[in-house]
Amino acid sequence: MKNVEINGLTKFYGDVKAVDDIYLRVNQGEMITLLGPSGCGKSTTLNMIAGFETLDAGEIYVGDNVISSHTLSVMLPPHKRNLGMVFQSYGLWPHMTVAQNIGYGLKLRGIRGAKAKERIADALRLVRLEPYANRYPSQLSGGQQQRVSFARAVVYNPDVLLLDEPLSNLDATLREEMRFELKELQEKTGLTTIFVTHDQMEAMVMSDRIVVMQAGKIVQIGEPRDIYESPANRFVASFIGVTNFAEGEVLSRSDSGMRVALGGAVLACAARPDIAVGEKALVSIRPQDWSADTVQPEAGTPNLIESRVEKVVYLGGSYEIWTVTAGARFRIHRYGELSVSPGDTLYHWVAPERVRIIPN
Amino acid sequence: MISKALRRRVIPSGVAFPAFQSQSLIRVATILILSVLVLYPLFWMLVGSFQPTPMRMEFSLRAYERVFTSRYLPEVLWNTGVMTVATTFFATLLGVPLAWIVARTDTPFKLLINLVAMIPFITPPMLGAIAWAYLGSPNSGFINVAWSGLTGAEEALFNVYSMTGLIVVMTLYLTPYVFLFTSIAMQNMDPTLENAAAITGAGPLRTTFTITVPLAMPAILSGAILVFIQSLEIFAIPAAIGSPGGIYVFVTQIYQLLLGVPPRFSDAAALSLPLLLICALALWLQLKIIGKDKSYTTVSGKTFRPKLITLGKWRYAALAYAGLYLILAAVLPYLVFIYGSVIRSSGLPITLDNLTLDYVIRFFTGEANPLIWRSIRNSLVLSLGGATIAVILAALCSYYSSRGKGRSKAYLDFISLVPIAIPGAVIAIGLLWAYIRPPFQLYGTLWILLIAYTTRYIPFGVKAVSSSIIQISPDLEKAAHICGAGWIRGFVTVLVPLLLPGLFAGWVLMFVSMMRELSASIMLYSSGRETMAVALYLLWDEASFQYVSLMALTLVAISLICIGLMRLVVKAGNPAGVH
Ligand SMILES: Nc1ncnc2c1ncn2[C@@H]1O[C@H](COP(=O)(O)OP(=O)(O)OP(=O)(O)O)[C@@H](O)[C@H]1O
Ligand SMILES: [Mg+2]
Repeated sequence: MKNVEINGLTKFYGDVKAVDDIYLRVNQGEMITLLGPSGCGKSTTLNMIAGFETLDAGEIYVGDNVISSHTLSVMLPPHKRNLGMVFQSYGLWPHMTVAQNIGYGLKLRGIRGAKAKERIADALRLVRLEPYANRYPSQLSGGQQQRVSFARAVVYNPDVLLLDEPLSNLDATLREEMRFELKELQEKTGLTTIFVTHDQMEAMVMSDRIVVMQAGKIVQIGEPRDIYESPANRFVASFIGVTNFAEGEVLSRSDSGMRVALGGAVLACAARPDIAVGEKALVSIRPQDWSADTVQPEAGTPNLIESRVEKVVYLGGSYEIWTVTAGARFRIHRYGELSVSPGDTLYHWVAPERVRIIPN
Repeated sequence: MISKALRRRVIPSGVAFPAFQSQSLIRVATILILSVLVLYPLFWMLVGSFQPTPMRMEFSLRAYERVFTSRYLPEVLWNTGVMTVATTFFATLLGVPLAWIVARTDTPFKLLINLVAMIPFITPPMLGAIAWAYLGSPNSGFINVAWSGLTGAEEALFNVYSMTGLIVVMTLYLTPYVFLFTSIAMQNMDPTLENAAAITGAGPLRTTFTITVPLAMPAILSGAILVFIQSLEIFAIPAAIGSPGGIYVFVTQIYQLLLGVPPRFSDAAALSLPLLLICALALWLQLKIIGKDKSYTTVSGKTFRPKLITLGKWRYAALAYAGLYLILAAVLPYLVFIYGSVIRSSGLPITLDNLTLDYVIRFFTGEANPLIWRSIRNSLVLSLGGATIAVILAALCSYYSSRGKGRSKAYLDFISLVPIAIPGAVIAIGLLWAYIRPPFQLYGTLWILLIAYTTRYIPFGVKAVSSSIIQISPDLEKAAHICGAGWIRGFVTVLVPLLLPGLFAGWVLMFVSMMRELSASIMLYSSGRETMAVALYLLWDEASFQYVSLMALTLVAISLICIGLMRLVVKAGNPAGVH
């Protein structure tokens, strides 16, 4: 178990900057997730760490050792890096049994005989596949293959574990189960882990910290909650969860808060030092942060907006209500019964600390 | 009132019925024709082995008795065994590294090395055999003359008319099959599997031996078995190289039995049976391996191609290895033929005085030997006709196989594949027996050759067509039927245009193969019905170096033109919907 340090990592494919000057530190035992839309450079980053791709600038350290460095012209081949990796398509060797697949890395490290058997059995127990040791990969289900792949990657105690979209080949239910299982396995083994995904829920559930990437750049690093609650920009806010965006204008600012005009409504929110009165501001409110009712609430309710219901969507256990007022549209998430139908008037309000101003 | 309505309802299905009938009629006809083509000669080969002569219907085991107590049989068995096993072994030994070099290393000039795969397609075994006879004959072979000129040695460096020579030439021309199978398998392999080995800690060489090669094993074995079958059925190389050195194998011994006076037809048929059985067994084994191979093909997401292995200085060794192979298999033979077509007399040094166009002129004006133009005409007629008939049959067969199910599909798949395992000599013997007497006395006509060719190469056509037919969704035809087209109209207006590239590729493949067919032709031709390959063999027997060379180059030129045309057409005519 070692930490990983990435400095100024850059990769070009022709004119495309697939990875653009990335700095990142992964602590010992930490599970960090590279999250971003397709083509943002997650796999490229991971493949540079694994040693499958050369760097065009920057350097990568594992512990105290440099494993790739453009300036030092170091490029350790993958097999000398002592990493473990779980691939999107698992990459289980079809001509070897489960036990042989898992034992391959041990053999290469000179661990043989009874000792190897014991380690293989431990790994199989970890992933709850003891009875399957002598099966071939083609005789296993997707989820089982996934777990074998994990066992194979961790059995020889690699310095760092790399996971490249390991759940994307599974069906929806299994994927959800495996999220928790993988996280649990990672915690049990305590390995420093770098996880790549474009699924925000996966990232939320599994990571200690999330690295959000866009077009080869890191746009935000933080704990899942931070990223959700205070997204760094419009891209992060829209990529992580659903949100209501509206262009507003700052009316007043004091130490206790700001007032922002949204069409006809005026919203109070926490003050930000970087926006002056009269400037435009992007307002983000999560759908579930709204409270709503069909009758007018008592006077003095902060941030109250009156709008007309456009449509109501039943989501199973909850509703999403789409409304419109002069100058803005909103999506409101509501649990429990509320009988509204299109055309009705809806009153909805939000606590000032739930109104976020996103830097543009 | 009611009956009128009822009748109205009945009429449309009554109209639809004949269309259905025409389809099942054509299907039955396809199955029947294929069965007759493939099974009829086999049946007659079997009958023939129990008959004393083609003219007398009588049961006797004397042919088997003669063959199995003959003095030649142990020798033929031994020679065939040594030749096929050694050829299969060496072809695999040479072909697998060659494939690995192309698929996995940074060796330069890979496009050139990839030409290896084209060699057997362009150079018929007959050409290789003859060229190597000229190169390696102990007294006058160019290699040996050059060697004694250089060193003054009395001993020949290399006597091609020996078991070693036979194995060398066989190996040279069959290695590409292993190469082709293996390199395709290595190129299509899921790169994740090798990446996984690397990240687990295996270096490039270890990955090669523990992952790459084992995963390619089904393809390697499959290629090796194909080589095995080919080495049993190729006639030209044992005839041109083995026979002069007194080394007879199955096919050449069968030919000897036919050449005898009187010809020993029943012995030839009896000797064909074990040959056929071995080939059938080999094909069965190959099918089993290919069947198993399916479980090895893994689905892969988009993954990074593994880095090519950097060989460093060794890449030049790899290049030299590939280069040496190309020189031996292709460059030297063609140099021999080019030299041969313009030299006054074989063995003369290349000076301006010794070069002449006389032979070229006499060859192309037909002055040299009436055999030349006659054989070119016969070959063109046979191959154009044969390829066309075969491609139509192949199209129907692939269609019914891809759209059918159950038994009729299984039977079509089987019957259209079987000819791969029937040596040309065996088909020839069967056809001899089947068509030598009235009412179907086809022996002595081109028809018997046409039947032989169509039968032999149907599997090629089916393979080419069915690989494109499975890409065409049955919905396209269904749409045509919904629009009101009958089955035949649907087939001709929707399927055939979409299939054209596949049909054409299959046609060219069969045409080129038929142009050079020798194993069956040599036993079925009669005077006036010679083909180019037969003429080449006869001219070589007459020792006319220049005409042999010109004939060889002409044969290759026709093949190349066809292949070039195919590439053009396939490139230009790839319609939307087929990739
Ligand atoms: N081998 C390559 N050659 C050229 N361009 C490439 C290559 N590999 C990746 N790219 C480009 O680099 C960029 C980043 O690709 P990468 O595979 O890292 O994306 P990703 O974030 O993993 O996306 P996904 O979620 O779809 O896997 C993309 O624009 C891609 O088109
Ligand atoms: Mg990716």
